[in-house]
Amino acid sequence: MSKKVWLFLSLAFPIIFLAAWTFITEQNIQNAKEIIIRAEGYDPRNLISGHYLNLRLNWQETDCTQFSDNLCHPNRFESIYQYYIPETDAPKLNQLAGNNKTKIELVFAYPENKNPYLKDMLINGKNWKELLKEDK
Amino acid sequence: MSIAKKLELWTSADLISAEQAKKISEYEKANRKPMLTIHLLALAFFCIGLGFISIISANWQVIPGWVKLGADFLILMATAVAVFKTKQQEKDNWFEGLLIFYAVMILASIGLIAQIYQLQPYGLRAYLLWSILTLPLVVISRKIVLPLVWLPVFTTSSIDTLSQIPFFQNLLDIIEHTFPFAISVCGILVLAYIYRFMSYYFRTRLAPQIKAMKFWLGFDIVSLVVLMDFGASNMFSVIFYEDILNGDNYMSVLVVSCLILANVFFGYFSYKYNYSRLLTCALAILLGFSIIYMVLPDNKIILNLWGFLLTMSILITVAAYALIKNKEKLLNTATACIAARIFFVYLQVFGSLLTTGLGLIISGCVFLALIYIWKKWSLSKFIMVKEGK
Repeated sequence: MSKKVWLFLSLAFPIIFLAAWTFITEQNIQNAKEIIIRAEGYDPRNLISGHYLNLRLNWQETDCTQFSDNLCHPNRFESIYQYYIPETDAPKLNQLAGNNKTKIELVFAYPENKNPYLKDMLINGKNWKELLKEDK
Repeated sequence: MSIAKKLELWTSADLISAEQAKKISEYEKANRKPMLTIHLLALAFFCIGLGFISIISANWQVIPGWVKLGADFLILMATAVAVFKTKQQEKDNWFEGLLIFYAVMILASIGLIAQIYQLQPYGLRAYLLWSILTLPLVVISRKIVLPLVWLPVFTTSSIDTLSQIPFFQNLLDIIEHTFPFAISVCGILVLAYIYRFMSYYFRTRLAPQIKAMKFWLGFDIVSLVVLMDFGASNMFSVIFYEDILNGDNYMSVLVVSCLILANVFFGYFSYKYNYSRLLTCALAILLGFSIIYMVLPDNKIILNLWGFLLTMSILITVAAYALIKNKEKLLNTATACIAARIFFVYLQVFGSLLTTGLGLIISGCVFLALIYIWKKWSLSKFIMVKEGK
């Protein structure tokens, strides 16, 4: 194989991989069933993805009838999830997550045989983006 | 010594004529590498790349996820095309600068995808993914900058990922309980083997990559020597002894035997293919000193002295190597470090200025005696003859 082809393949490989990864993740999320799980939160931030909330799943207050066999499956989930949030909204969300009265729920895409994908976060039953909009 | 000074010396010694000196000087000026441009380009693209990471991290909510991803892939593709073109046009400095930018943008893209799809981080796997995706870029790079950054990222993230696999977790556990700093000594030995293998098979094809490996190998050895010297007695002694006494004896013997064999084989390989003995000696010293830590009592003065002896052994080896290879700067550095370490050991062990002073005078006398013996028995000739063989 010529040097030119090697150079082309070396440069194309990361783009092809990242595009495939994005496509597969998108497909998995789109085709999976949605479930909501209660969570409790605390903070900090990630070097390459920015601010996030650290959220611990609370299975005791989760509605297990959402699962097809009416049983919760904590083993298929991590115990703590990071939810990435915009820098500008981080202080407000941190404050809300730290309040005991705030009800936090995480929405997951729950594919049959793959790890669940964290899709969204609900605060007091509302999407967090809508809630912050209303507050403004 | 600068080339101008050397030319002056050679001209005054009638080795070359004034005209030849002028021609050499002109040739050197014309062929001088644009070092400042290369370094500034590398820094500029590195900063721009980091800037992109920071903007992505800010997670600008106004822009929808698919737009962010689209823009990201466009930038990636445009950069890849620019890298390809600069390589074809043989614009080496721009090629390297853009290659660094491309590598940083790949990390930014991983961060962006993880952020948009709320993908969870597992240890350092994002960095491992980055190092796998950028491996081809490291191979095509013709300068040391990218390999220099890539190597520690790959090593750290792969060790982190491997340590989550039960087999490797057990293996690391066994090595860790064998003797103090065993994992670090093992890691350096593995790196030394890879370095030798690479230098043997790809010396010219992957010259910058091998140079980067050499830098990190040297850095790791120096860091470990400093840590063993100053850390063993002050910070870690209690942890060492408790951990090691709980270890499995048979496994410890096996690990130590394997490491000694690996060291001997490394020495044999280096000797057979006429590689520098400096690395072999440094590895043997590190292994020997760290194994003997097992039988030393938990006594601060003894541990301090053992650390001192370790540093001195490494420094004397470096000085001997510099002497044999006629590397004046390295010899000066090693001598200065030896002097500093001698001064420090007296402060560590004795403490008072009177005893420190007496100790230093005795040390000075020992060095004078060494010079006398050196001159009297012409040991320098002996070393040179050995090296010639």
